[in-house]
Amino acid sequence: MKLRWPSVTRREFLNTLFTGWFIAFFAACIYPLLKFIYPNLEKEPDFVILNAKDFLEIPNNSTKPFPWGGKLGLIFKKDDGTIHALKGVCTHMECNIMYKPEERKFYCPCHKGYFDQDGKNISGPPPRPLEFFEVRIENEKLIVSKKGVKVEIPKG
Amino acid sequence: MIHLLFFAIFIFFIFSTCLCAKDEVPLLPERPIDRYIIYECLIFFWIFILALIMVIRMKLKETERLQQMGFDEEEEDVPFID
Amino acid sequence: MRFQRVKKWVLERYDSEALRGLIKKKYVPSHKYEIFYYMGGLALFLFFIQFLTGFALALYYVPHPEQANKYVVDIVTKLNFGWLFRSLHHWGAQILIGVLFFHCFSTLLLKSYRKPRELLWITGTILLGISIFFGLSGYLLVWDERAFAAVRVATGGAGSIPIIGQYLKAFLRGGNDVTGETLARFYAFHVSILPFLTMILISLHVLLVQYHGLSVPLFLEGEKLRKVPFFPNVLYKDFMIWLFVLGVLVTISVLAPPEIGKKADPYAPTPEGIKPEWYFYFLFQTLKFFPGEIFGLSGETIAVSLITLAAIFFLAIPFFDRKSSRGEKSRTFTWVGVCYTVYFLVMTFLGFVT
Repeated sequence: MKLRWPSVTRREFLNTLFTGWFIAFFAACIYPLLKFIYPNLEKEPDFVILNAKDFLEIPNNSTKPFPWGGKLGLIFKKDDGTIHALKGVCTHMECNIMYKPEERKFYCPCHKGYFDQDGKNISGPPPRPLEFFEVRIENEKLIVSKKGVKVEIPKG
Repeated sequence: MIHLLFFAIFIFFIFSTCLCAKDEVPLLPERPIDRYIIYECLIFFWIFILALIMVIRMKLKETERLQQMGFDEEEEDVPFID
Repeated sequence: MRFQRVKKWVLERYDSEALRGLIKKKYVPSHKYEIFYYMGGLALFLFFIQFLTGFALALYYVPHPEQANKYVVDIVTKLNFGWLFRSLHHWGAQILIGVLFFHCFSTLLLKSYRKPRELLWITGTILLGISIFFGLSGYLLVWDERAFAAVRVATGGAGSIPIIGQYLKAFLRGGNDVTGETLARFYAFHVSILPFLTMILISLHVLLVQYHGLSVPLFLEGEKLRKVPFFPNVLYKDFMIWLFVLGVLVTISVLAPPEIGKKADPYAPTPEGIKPEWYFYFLFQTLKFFPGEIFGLSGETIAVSLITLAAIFFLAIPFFDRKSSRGEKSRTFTWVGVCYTVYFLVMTFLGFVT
């Protein structure tokens, strides 16, 4: 069947074409800008290698900071002399935590959160326990790695 | 009289600056003479501000008086305060 | 006379009669609540001071994570009047945000947002949001420990907004964490993006006020009110208020210069007792009320979602409040306004005392 009149007028067709084309063009222009302003995200490291000498000699019941990517990591020596490593960032609002030796607790000053020696959140707002890492000593190197990550050290 | 006042302020601030524990970063110029100048300037600043406010008040009263008398039309040039 | 020639030059080219007519026609209603009319002008004046002192400080400041803090210290200790301008910029911001909140809540309670002034409300509320972001970004530029922790918390809080949160957080931080990238970003926000938006929105806001005229409270609408010409009566009063506030601002700036903390260090423990700026207290306190977990969901996410919803509702109040738009009394929205105001005041107070 042949329509006597087209259902879309020439003007409507051209207007739609113009608007659509314009929006598509604009979107194509804005896309690289959006891509540019959104940052490249660096992942957290799977492991870091530290000099064992610097960390093994800290006194019992104390911590020493080390850089875990861009974040704070803590090497923690318990009363019994065992070495542990953990991420020194509160699970609530990402403030840096500190160790209170006399209370044997980790403490976040931002919103008064407490974690016990094993990193369990015991009071205050923190929703999750602290993240502990695995620690291994190899050739005077202290290897701190995420739990379950196999570390292969490049030779040399 | 006014000299006495300034002298009293001077003494007060010298003592207060000496008594205060020193900041890690000096947030104001530290020399007592500088401090004295700063505080004195502050007082003059207020005197000038209050005087200016008083003048503006007088101008406002004058304008209101003229408006009440119905002289609005004659104020052709007033809008831009010069 | 030279001045006469300049005047003639201008008059030959521009129709001064139109402008003069506009000025003459501009009247301000006079009544018991007219003090609220001066808040907008005062905010404008304080914005002007912020721009001026900001221009001056920008001449010297460098947003580099290693040096930013040192530059701020240098501005304060070595430059002529550096201490004064930093202090003015700091306290100017505090007073400005205080005035903006006052302006905003008085508009809310007097229902000046009602038809036809919805767009005024929206531009104004966005300006308030921008000003708060101005405060946050400017606070980080000092690059001391407190600012570092505060921005970590604030951007982390933005990360709890459902769906867009993570993208927003990464966008604000310029990465996964607060670093030098964040400093560069916040500098860009503070000195170029936000001022540009502010200029546009202020122009729009002021133009809209000129277009609509000043709103009269609902309960006074029927009454016959005295009208006072804006030029020069109201402008004189504006000047007096501005001068007085300038005096107060300079006095506070001289007597209580803001502190500069130690350089931010991502590996240092957070300093004890950190608090955000006072205009974040109402958010900070809200977050504190929520436990870490509610029915297996993160309490933070719930709190931030509720705050986001409350902010969106706040922005859209003129569209919900149909009664006021028709010129009727609207009890519900009086209560809504009172709730928002009281909540803000109580939380801010709690923030100060705890």
